Amino acid sequence: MKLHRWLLGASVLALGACSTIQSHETVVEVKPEVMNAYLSDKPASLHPYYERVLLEGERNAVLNHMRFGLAAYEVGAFDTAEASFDEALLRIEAIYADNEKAEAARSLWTKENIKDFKGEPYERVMAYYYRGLLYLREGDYENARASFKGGMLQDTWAEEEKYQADFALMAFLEGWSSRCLGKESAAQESFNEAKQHRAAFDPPPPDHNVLLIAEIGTSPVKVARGDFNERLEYERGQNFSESGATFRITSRGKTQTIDAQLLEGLYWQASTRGGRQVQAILDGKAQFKDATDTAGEVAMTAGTSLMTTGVYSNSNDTAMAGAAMIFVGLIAKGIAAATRPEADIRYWDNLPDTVHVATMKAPAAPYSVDVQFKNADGSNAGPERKVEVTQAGACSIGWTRSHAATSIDVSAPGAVAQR
Amino acid sequence: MRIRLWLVAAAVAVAACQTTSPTLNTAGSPTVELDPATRGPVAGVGIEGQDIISMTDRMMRDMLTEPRLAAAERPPQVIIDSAYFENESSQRLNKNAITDRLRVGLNRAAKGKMIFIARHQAAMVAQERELKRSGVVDRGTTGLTRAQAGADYRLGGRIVSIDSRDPRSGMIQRYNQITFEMIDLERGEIVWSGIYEFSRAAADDIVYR
Repeated sequence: MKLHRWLLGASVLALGACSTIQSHETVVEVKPEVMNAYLSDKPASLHPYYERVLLEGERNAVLNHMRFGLAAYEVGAFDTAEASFDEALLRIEAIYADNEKAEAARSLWTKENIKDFKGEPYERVMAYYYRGLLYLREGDYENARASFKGGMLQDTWAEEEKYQADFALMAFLEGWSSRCLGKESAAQESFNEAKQHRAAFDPPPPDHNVLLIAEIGTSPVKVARGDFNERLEYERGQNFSESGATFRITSRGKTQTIDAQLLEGLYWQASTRGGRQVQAILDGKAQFKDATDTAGEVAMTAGTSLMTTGVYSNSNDTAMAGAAMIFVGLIAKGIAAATRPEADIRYWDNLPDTVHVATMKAPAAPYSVDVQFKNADGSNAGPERKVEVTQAGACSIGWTRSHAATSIDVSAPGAVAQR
Repeated sequence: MRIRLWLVAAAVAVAACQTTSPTLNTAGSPTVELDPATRGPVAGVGIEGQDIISMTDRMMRDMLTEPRLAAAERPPQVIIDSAYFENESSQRLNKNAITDRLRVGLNRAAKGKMIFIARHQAAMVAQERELKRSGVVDRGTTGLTRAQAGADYRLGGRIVSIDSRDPRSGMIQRYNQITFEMIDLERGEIVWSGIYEFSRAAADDIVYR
């Protein structure tokens, strides 16, 4: 009788441990008055998104601020966008040492995604990129330059040296900020650096003062591979055909077109990062899970055999020993089931696939800019769109995307558990 | 029997634990203060609040020992703002946090030995002058002057940083250097300069590397 109770308890433990959702993956309850106060200074169209910042809490705060900051930028809510990227960068720049959640992410029993999201290097770089663009937009070229420099620093974690700090886009934009500050020699240095990272890049002539940026495609996708989903890998974004952009500038009845040049590929940046150091921990968890599960399997098989022998030979001792082995096997199986080596696959899903830039000398005002996205075969991808160009200080900037930053689910992929 | 069973189960778990790979600096390193300033619970490797307080206090004390600024026969007229204080570092920063604190601290400590010109509020002054002269408002109590005050000296400076990282251990290190210079606005002479520098190093937990 006692043995039956033990077996039952062990089975319950094993089954309980098999639950795929962990408590940290769920949303929290937020009082309506708290939510209303939080949303009060944000555009109504973005409320369904910004709600998630409170519902998903600090664990997904950086991720949500990145996603919604970009959405806010696109809908023209620049103050909201700036505040969101500041919130994200504040956390990215904070040093997470002796952090409880980070420690929990290393534990055998907790998924990696318990940690507060700070993003992989390409995501962190892009947070600096958008903050820098917002600074450029308002003519704060010094802080724009600082953002682009800071972004480049996030790209220094690649395993292979040749892929460290190779974000041509950030080098170019640092140079562009220096140009707007009147520091042409520093600008040229940065443009040269951009060219080192992307040989086909054609630096802008010294009299160019209008920057046009086209973001194309959809974000890289994080996927978990391996027997226990312990290995983080990337797939290129799907569901887009466009691969280039042409800007059409009209001023006083005259029209000129400029093909934007490809400056950065985010899938390439994500996939050349190489192994993460945390992967060693996840691999260790996976090995532990595998070894424990195998040990449990062996114990249960041997125990079953022993128990059968005991029953047929009328030997209570042998049957008890077999039952004990089954019990040990169940415990081991329970431990294996409770081990969580799954890689964290939360990702910034409204990033583009590639970033293209064009520059020009500002034509006589007033002028208008339109963009035509192009497929690889040169055909048009969708209709032509108007590009808003903003001038503040010495330079102007226009920014456009082929895919709307708001065409995302309110919750990021992998951010919360789906029951 | 029960104890033995648990022992076996524990043994299985411990044995399996040995498959976990050793890793470098797994717990990360807390921020290391290389300058004797206090820091809050959230810290990075860049310029923080305590640095601004420390550097402006030090610059203020130093500036007040310069005779041409603090012991001139006629108190010099100075501009302290961020217009010529350039941020070349990799840290986004509101430079006014530094220059405002320096100006306020100096203004309070100088006790009339220096006169501070609010060039950062020149538009506000110009607007009021226009209102007075157009008769929309009266002259106030201190009378009219021919023009806004000109300055003898103005603060210039630069913030630079040098960053280095070790991808293997995850350590990041930043050297921050902030220079301050008081420039004679007629001759271009630098009548006073000060420098504030510090380095910080830290590493995120391995789960972020």
